[in-house]
Amino acid sequence: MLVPNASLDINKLLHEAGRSHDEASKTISTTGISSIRYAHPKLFSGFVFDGLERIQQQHRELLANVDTVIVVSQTFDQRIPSVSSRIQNKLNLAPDTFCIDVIDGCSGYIKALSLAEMLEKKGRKKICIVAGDLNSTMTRNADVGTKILFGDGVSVSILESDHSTLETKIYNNGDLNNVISCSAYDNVMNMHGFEVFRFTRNVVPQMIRSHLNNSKETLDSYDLVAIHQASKLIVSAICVSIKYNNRLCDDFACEKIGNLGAGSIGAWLSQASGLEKKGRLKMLAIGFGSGLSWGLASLVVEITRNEVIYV
Amino acid sequence: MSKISFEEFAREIANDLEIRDGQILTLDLKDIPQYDSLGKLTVSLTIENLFGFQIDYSILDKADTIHSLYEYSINRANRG
Repeated sequence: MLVPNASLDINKLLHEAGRSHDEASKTISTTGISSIRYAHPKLFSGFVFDGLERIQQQHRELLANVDTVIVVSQTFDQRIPSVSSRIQNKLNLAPDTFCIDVIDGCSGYIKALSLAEMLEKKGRKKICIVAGDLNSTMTRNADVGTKILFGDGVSVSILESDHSTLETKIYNNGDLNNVISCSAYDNVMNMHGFEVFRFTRNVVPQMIRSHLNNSKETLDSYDLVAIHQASKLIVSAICVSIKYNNRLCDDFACEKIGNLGAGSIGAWLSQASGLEKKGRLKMLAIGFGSGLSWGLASLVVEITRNEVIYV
Repeated sequence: MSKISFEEFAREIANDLEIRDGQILTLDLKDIPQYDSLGKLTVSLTIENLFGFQIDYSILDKADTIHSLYEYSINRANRG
């Protein structure tokens, strides 16, 4: 997990926006987010390159022989060339490395896993997924209610091929009247939190139940249910609806990071301690958000390294 | 027929917004700072629990008083 050194205090942001102490406390207790990581003035590609350099310095073997680079973000700072192809060059990866940038947000990690599933069938053995956003580039001038939810950071996942199965499902519903939007021109994120909450609460538990029915599984068969860390309110509402709580980590664990879009499932995993010693774990990853889109991935993971690196 | 009384409704909403029961009876909703977007979200969940339907954001946004919100909710619930 790569997060910036600096952070913003939500209490302070709310006070600056005119909220009283009591109002700010209630907001923080509802969203569950008390601070957000903040990378300003860094931009996405520079942040990612610095972070990968740090990973290379500390764990050179991790990034060696990567044959696929998937970058998922909504805060690309440059259109050409792609970040994934620049990563290929910076990491001295082979010229036949498959490189792709995907523009997507909160269900983007599931889409990356879906791509990984397809590419594994084509013989790809070691896939690097870089997922997340420097959301502050879109929220700096946004409504305070939006600004206090989104942090900066990206997750870096290295997936190595084995015989276990990776199954994904992805759904979309157009733009749902632009309830989450950000134009390239003014670069200000707008979100109708009420509608997003309702949409999520209506479709996500239903998707999970449908998956369990089709696969004839129960949630108890999973060691980890990684829910996109939109806010404590949303994650709790989903957990209540599906009647599940994680045993290895709190269901919402990003109170000092914020919502990182496609990076938030990695951010959640990074907050769970001791996963490296647990061996093979069955995980259900659930993403939902901008699009609007939602999806899940059922996979078995053996986590060999799990840490937060400050960039 | 929904059997939720106005007093019970007002008590639940006051609890959601963390204000005194008496205040919610006298103030316009727009004058309650806690009735912001997050407050409306919490109120919508309470209405769903009490009356069994999902209220539109526009109704919450336009409602002037707790009484008008109750009238809408009870009529909608009884209409089915």
